[in-house]
Amino acid sequence: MKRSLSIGLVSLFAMALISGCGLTSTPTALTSQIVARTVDPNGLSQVESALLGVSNDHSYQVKAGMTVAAGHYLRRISYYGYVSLPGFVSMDETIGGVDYQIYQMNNFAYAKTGGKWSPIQPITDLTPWTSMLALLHSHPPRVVYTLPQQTLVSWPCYVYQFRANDLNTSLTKLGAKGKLIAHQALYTVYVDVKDGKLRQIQVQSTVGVPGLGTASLESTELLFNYNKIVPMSAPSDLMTQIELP
Amino acid sequence: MKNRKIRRIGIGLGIVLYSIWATLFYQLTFTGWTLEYSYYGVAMVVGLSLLFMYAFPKRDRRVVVRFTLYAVILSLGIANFAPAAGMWRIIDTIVFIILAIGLGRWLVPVRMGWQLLTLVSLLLFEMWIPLSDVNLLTAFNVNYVGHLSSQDAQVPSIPVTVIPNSRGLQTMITIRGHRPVPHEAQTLIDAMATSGNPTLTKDAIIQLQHSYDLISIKPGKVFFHTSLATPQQLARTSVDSLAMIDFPFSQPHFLSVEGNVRMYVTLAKDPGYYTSMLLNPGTLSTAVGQMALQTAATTQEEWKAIGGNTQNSVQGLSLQNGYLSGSYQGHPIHVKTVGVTILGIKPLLPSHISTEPQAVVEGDNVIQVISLGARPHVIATLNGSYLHPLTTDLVFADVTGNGSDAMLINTVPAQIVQLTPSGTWKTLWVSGRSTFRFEAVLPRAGGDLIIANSPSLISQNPIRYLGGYVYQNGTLNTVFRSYHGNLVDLHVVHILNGSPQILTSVYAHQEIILLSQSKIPWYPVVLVVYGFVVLAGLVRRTRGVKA
Repeated sequence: MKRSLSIGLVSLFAMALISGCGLTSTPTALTSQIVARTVDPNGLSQVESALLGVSNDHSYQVKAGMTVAAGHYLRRISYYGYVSLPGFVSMDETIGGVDYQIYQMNNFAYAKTGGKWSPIQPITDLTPWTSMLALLHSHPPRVVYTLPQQTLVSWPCYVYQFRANDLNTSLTKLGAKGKLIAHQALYTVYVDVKDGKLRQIQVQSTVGVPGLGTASLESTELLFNYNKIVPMSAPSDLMTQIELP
Repeated sequence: MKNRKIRRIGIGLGIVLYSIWATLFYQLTFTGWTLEYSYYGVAMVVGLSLLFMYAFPKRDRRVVVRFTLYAVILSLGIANFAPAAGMWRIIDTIVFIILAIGLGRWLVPVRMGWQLLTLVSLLLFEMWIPLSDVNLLTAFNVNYVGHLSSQDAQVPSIPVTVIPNSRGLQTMITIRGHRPVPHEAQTLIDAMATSGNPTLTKDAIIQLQHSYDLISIKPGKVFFHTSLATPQQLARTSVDSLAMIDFPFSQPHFLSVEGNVRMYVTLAKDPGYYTSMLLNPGTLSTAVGQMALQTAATTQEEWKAIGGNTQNSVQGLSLQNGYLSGSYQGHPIHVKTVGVTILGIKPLLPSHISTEPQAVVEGDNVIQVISLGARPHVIATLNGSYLHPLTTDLVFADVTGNGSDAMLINTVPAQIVQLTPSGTWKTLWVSGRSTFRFEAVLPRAGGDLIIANSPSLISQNPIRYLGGYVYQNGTLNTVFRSYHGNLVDLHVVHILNGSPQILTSVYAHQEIILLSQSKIPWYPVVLVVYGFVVLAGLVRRTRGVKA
């Protein structure tokens, strides 16, 4: 009797002890990434040479995701696919929980959803590095940071980060002091330590939507298997859909 | 004779209450501890179970332990077939009852009549409150659960909002999967000839099976009443809370069909455009930014066309052409600001600094505070960064109980910031877990009760469960935990009389739930009952030993 009572008391005490724990404040969680980065005077040229280094490659594989947060919601698109220049694309996409498949061979471009293929506008710009180089040339970032090395999947990478103005001026807005402010994004570029190839591009940005407030974007695209992709022939169900009466 | 009857009623009542207690104890204590304290929780569960078994003298142990197990197994079994629909539900129920009787005969040395009573009472109990929602009872009463069928993956959680009604309370406005009726497509085809927007009508026909009715839900005498939303109701409904489905990648559309509004969702662009966007990272931020502006503008346009409310004014103030303008308590306001939406009019400064509350507006990754006193102007600006952007995902709360509000902001990680009288910001608290989210705030003397979705204390699993916290000296102290995951989009509402309720949507379950604060603290109650049960066993044991 006495023993069981003491067991009971001990367990109740242990319970009270654990549930009494509160959630303490961890201010470093907000600043850790800023603290870890340093200004790198050679950063810009490193990023440029990584982009130029892949610009002669003729094919690659891509795994990517794009998240937009607005209001209470967070919405995501994910991608996985193969690209071979000049005009081959095979891509799986998930948008709003629905799967889409894209097959393109030059001007022959189809998208599949709900088990049915339909023609789409062919995708023309298939080289991610082109738009990045154009961005760096038109508005070279004033500061390029370097972050601690990171390993993506199995590739150790140098990490560079910079802010740059948009190429396009359509989202330029009037600032608080009456000056025009260019729309910007934060770019994080991952360069492979071993072969110097462009490994990943991360884009973070925001836009103010009237009535809805800030919508924030975070996109990550991982590039791999450079020069190892061979164009595939069209999916058999697409052929069947086209050929069968 | 009479005594025997009373005794039988007593035993029956005891069995009903005991089986419900066993269910509650299992859900609130065992499930809760395991989820919160991981292995330690499992150890505590084993400890309590052993103590329970040890308490009873040997001859009682067999009956009590087996009956308790039987009741818990039945509760879990009922919860498993409850989600089945239509014919399957009936088949499942029959099979389940046969299995339950079989299990009872084999496992439980209790008369068949009592076993059936246990089964029926647990069935009724779970019809009243599903087992998965039992976990909410630590802090809430479940007032209403609305199942709003829809199969579309684009709508992972049902959006719901509230509008004021004539009784001084609020009515829920939400969407429900539309069930096409015969000849409906033909009616729509005929309507196309006279439609102001034939393309919209055409798409509505194509999307007929994936379309939604806008409905209103309000409490009746016994049940909640669901009906199609009237034009008068929609004229008071803002579209933002309903149309954020897959924003900005998908575009919601609204169409008036014979006086009732239908909604359907399409991709904002063709699937190739999304690939093209991705393969041009240098122009991605522009492309997504434009898509967000375009989707929002089209939504507003179509909402306006069906007579919905597009006025974005808060207490007489609105944002126009870069100014906050209107009149507040009789005096005119016209202040230049970068805000694009009004977050609220809140007392961010203590009343001895400013007797008037402040207008809080948000622009592109920035929050501005505007005084509404004699000389209205921007008194403070809080800038977000690209790494920790400021969206409208925040709540205001009087965390210290001094009458002024702090902002509980869901950056990653979430943080609490407070405006100081000098116009600077003070960070009161930063979450150590990236998945922690502030959801809603219930007023409470001495510091508001903060409702948050928070991960388990010990496990690194990112799954969040509802919790209630109060702020005290830099720490959020736990008031309650309700182990119900997946509750999203929480709003504080006044749908029923009395203290405010919480309206929430269940992620991936096409359900909305209305919760009110519980007066009965079920969690300590079930623990105390456990204490009594163990004590009763010990008393019997000592008596048995003496005899």
